[in-house]
Amino acid sequence: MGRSKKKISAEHTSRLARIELPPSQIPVVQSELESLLDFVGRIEQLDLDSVEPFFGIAIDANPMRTDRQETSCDRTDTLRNAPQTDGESFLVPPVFGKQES
Amino acid sequence: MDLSSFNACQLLDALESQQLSAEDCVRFFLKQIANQNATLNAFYTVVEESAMASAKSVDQRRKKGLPVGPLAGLPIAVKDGICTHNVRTTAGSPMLENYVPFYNATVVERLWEADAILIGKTSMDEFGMGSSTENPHFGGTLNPWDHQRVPGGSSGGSAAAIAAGMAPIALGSDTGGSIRQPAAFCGITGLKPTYGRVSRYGLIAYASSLEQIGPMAKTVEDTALLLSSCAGHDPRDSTSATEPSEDYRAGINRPIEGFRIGVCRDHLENGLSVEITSALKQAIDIFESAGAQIVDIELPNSSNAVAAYYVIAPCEASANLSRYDGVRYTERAPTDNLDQMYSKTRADFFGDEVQRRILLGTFALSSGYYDQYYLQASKVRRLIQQDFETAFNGVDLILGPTTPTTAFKINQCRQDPLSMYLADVYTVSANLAGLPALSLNCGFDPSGLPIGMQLQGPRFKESSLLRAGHLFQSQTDFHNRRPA
Repeated sequence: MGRSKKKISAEHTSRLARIELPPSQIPVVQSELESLLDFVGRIEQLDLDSVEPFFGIAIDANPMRTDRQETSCDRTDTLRNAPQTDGESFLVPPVFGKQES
Repeated sequence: MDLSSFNACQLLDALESQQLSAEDCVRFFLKQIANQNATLNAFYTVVEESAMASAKSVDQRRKKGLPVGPLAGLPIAVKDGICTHNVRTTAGSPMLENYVPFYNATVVERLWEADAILIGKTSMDEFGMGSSTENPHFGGTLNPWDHQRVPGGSSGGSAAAIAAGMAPIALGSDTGGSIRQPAAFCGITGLKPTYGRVSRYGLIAYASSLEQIGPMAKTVEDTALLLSSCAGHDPRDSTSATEPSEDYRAGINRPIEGFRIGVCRDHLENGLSVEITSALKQAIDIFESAGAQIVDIELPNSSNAVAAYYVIAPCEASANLSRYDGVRYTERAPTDNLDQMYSKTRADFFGDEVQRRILLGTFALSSGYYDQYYLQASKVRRLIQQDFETAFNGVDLILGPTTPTTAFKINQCRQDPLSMYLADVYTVSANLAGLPALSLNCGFDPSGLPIGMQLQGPRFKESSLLRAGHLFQSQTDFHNRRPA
């Protein structure tokens, strides 16, 4: 199938997954991921070009509900578990960091 | 009265005939929890006050002759990955340590309508990712049969609670074996229903195309009782099946004469200890004596099931767990900007195994690798589904082991993720194909640890599994034995 063996980069993948790995952990995670990919990579060798993928039962029979407007979650309830709110919205730190005042 | 040896159906009989009050019943199990939980750590949260209030209400209605639900007064434990209104639901994660849902999962609502009584939330591997319930954040759960060993996972708390007599019945969830493997390790009965049979609304998602909520109990009849109250279409879960559910307990006594039971010799003879093979062969003899016909079958692609599973499940997890970003769900690492907040929150509040699976899934779905991993694994999934379809043309159910070993020792697999993943070798296929599968105790190894037998059936044929399992339990007493 002409696939070249590619290597995972724990550092790059952790950036994609938004999980900050401390530098000391990167080689450890790198080695764990390589070993897991070695194991799951056994299926790479199979010739499955003619096989249709199967993504699960729900794709085959997805029941639809009536297209009718329904009440959604209460705002206060929805905000109750958030770490920071102003009572109406979720609050988050600034996108570009704290501004100098 | 010592109720710890009562199964759920017996308790229900005693409650219905008013030989036992719901208050006494709930009080007994709360006391069992109080006595044992400090050692076993099967419950993260116990809801004494609301349980006693609900029990009182059931007793009052019964005394007045008012209608009560089909599970009225029956105490139930619920895995902590299933949302319970105003009761903390952690999914075993530091990320959700203080999360209190404002809604009930559909299954919990149905149990509430049936007048079952929630007594507590049970321990689990973080987000269901694990096979041992050695949760580093909330502490490990011990196997009641041997405190040096794990109860299995991820529904290890529910299984340990039943085995130790802390709850008569419980809900678990099963993404790759998380009901059946702990059921096998703890010597109880556990059923993973057909995908779509039970609503997943309110189940904290790990791998949505694979997981199902299901019953765990002492006996097959108890699991049938609980499934009857939980199953059925739910408009709030678009993947829940419209196929009508049934009263699974009603037909459970029907004979299995003429049943064709498939046995994959490769699964029975390779990779198992002598004791497990021998226990399964004895089980086969029992079914044969009851009039079933044993048929050899092949499942040629099952050897690739674990590899396919550990691509598909992490891929789905990487998407599902992206919602934990420090904005909505209780925990947030203090940082100066938004991007750092995401990355630091997820680093600080996800455990190692969850991070590992998110990274694996993120990589497998990243640009350039999708075909190589996810698509290829989804094709293997098709082959596994077709293997089952072919097998079920000739048999009514398939008998085999639930696990390759009995309960392993604490810390035995923790440092080696792959060895932990291989504990799922016989269970993941049913999740990949969306089929129902039942695990029940079929013997003990020389150390006195329970051995699990798995029965797998075609879609929506839970009733066949339950009939066969009930027949087995009516002719054996393994399910009645309890840890010393």
